[in-house]
Amino acid sequence: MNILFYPIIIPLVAGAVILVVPKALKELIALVGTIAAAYYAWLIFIGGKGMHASYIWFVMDQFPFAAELRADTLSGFVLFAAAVFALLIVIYSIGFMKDGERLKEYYVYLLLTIGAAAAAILADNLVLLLISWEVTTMLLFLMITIGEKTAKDSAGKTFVMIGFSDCSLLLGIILLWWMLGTLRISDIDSVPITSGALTAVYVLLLIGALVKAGAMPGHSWIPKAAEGAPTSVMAFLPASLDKLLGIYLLARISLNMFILTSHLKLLLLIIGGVTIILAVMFALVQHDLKKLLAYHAVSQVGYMVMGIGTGVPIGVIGGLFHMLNNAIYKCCLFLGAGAVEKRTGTTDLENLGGLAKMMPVTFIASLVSALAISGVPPLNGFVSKWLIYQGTIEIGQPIFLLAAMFGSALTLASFIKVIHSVFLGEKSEKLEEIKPEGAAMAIPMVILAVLCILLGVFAQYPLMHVFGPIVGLRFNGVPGAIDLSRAMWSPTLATILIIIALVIGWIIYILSTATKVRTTTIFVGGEKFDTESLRYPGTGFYETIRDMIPLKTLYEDAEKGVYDLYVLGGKYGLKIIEVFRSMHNGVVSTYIAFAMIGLGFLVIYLVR
Amino acid sequence: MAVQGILTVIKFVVIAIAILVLGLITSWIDRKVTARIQARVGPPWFQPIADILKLLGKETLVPEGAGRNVFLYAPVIGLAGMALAAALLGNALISPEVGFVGDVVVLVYLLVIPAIALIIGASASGNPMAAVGASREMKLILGYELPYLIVIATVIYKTGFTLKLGDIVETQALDGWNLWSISGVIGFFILLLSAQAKLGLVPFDIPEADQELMGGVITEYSGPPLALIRITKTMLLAVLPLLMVTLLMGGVQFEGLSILWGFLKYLVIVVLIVLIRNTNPRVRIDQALKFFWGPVTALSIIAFILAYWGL
Repeated sequence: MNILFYPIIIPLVAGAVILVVPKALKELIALVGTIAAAYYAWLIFIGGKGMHASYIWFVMDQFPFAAELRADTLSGFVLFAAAVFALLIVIYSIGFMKDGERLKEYYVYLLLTIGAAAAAILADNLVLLLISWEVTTMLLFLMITIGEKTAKDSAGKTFVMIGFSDCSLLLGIILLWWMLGTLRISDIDSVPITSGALTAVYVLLLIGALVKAGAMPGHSWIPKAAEGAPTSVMAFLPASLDKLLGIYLLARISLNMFILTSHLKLLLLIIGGVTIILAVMFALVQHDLKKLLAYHAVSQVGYMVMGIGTGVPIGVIGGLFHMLNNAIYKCCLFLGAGAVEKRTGTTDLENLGGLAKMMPVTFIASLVSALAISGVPPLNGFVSKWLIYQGTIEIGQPIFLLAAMFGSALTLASFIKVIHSVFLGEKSEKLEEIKPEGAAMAIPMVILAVLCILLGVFAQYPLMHVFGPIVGLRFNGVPGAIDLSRAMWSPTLATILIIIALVIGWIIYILSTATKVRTTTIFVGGEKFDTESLRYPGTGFYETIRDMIPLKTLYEDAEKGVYDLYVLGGKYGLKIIEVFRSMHNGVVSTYIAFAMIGLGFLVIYLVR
Repeated sequence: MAVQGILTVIKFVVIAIAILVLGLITSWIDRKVTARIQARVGPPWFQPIADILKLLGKETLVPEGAGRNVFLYAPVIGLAGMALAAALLGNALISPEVGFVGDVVVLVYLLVIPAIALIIGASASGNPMAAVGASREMKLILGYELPYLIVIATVIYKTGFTLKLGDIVETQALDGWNLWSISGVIGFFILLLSAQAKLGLVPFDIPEADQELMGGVITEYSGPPLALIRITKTMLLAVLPLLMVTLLMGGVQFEGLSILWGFLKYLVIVVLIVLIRNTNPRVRIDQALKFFWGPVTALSIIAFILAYWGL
């Protein structure tokens, strides 16, 4: 059997095995299954150019029912990243889900998800892609239901929204078959979008990709899912795997299958810009850690869409690099939130605080990823955002540069709030003694945080060796600008300089008396000090912004669901249905009249 | 290669120190002018450095319940970001033809690091006053950052879509200063106001607000950590006017008398900042936000549109 089948089949088999073996073995099998999948994904990734495999099941009327697989630089890389995230989540789950319910199911779904995702990524046939794509949707639904009691609502909304986008993907594929007469992805190479029908194909496929990734306006399932789903599921699917899948499909259709017109590029840029700003504005005022992170998971998609929408090599590289970076730090942040939730029993920012001393590993990992997502140099988020900015400048659209940079400042603001309310500040008296996070939860977070630093400081290597070849799918030659050793932002040099400055600061401390410190009480101007009443939790940080006049309306509308397609769809869908409902009034003569009218049309059609 | 690398690093360190010296001089000018406005004599020229040296010799106090390491190392990180920003800007001015790490986007990001470090340090102190100060500082950043970024986008537009500081300087040497246009003048005043807020000077000293928050973000800091914060602020006092000179007033040329000319431009901006600081009362944070997101942003958008029309 071809190696391309392994990362699909191994997790599926491992998932099936978990169902039959004793309970105690489930973690072990999940671990073995994901390690094996990651290993084969790595082999495909490094071996990765133009691997093909196909297995024909049967042929019906010239239409082969076949599993056609193909690996190239893009899919090999995305597959490997997905497998590594699955592995990290399994390790984390050993600690996080320890005394959860329905654990066997949880690991089965997790393994099946990675198998289905591998099939979607490697598929060379749009039908296979569609089927495995929908399998991941269904598994996401099932995994969300494992969470709290409210998870049913979350799962339902998620399923409806992604199901809708899958439907649009299906329509797009049908239309594509009708237009081009082929469903093999490698046969559809750089088709120029010349007609309205092809634009429709592209937009339908685009909806499928963007709702999965969570770009606006198809975003509202992510915050809803965050309410109920287990945090590890949030970290795995909406934060990392769904981003990889959605942006993979976006990159595939935009770089590989079609040549975009300038209007479509502008559409992508606008979707990107609006998503960045609006989602982060909502994140700013959230009081629940998981929901706040969920809105950031939406906001960051905007950067990737914008990067790909620039349509110039450097912007596209930035968008794809951002896809990886976002998956890393967003996953890490969700894992940190999960550890906090596990140890304190709450994710309400109002009731947390001062955890830095009790959970130092979670604190450091979350701080690093929070700074990375805010684009603080020299971390990885900065490099990818910087590349996207270069892209917007290269196409002469400084307005999008502005949206992206201001979005970055807002992101920083909302993470300052998180860091203050969860880890620093005053500890809430409601919290009991807190245990540290434990090795199983700590290891994945540490790995991800270290990756944030390494991918930032040594960004030139992944850019040259991974992302450069990927944009080769569309563009001839790799842009010189990503050779960061000679470019304007040299992360390694900058890091050396920062380290020197840190050492100088440290020497100043050593030479002076800063290492011998005296502990005093908090100074509040001589007032009597009452900890709980003087506590200032971060939830009050941005009340001023919430109450500003035009923004107040925005937030009130958002609470009413004005920006939520699901709510809107429900509202107007009901109106349409009511029209049909009123036709069914229970009077026999009305139904006979309908039947006669129908018969009349039929006769006219047949006789004519 | 290695030798060259070490030389580059040394060059950057020297530039950062030079900017610090410039900042100390500027700080003295600030205090002297302020004193003259208030009909006082003012301090001698070495007062800023004397203050910092004095702080270095003082005891370090850490409040109980504070995240001690975060509290103590936040100022160091702030200084590191500041020093890097100073070195990059100085390098772009001295050798504009080398595009090396001289990028306006990088600079904008690096200049936020000192503020973040201060916020995180304040938050780690566990002091409610510091927490209120931190939240105000962050809101203030959001406030001025929007018009500030629009002006930077305007400058990028005017100089033909380049992010390199060196190119911005050289374009102005050929086509004249960006300041000499309606959009340039508007941009100049917006950058001036943003600099005021970035430096935390009156009327935008809301995060420190001595009378109500007792220093706000820096309430709990003392001794060497406070000295590092001072050094950072001093460098910022030099970097922001220099950035304005670079973006709008043709930069500084390091040949003969041009240095004096460059210093004069710099001095004009510094004096303007000091004058604003001494003739205004402090505003509330919600007023500041409304001010920056309302009229100032509207003006900056007008500047951008004017630049689009070539004005």
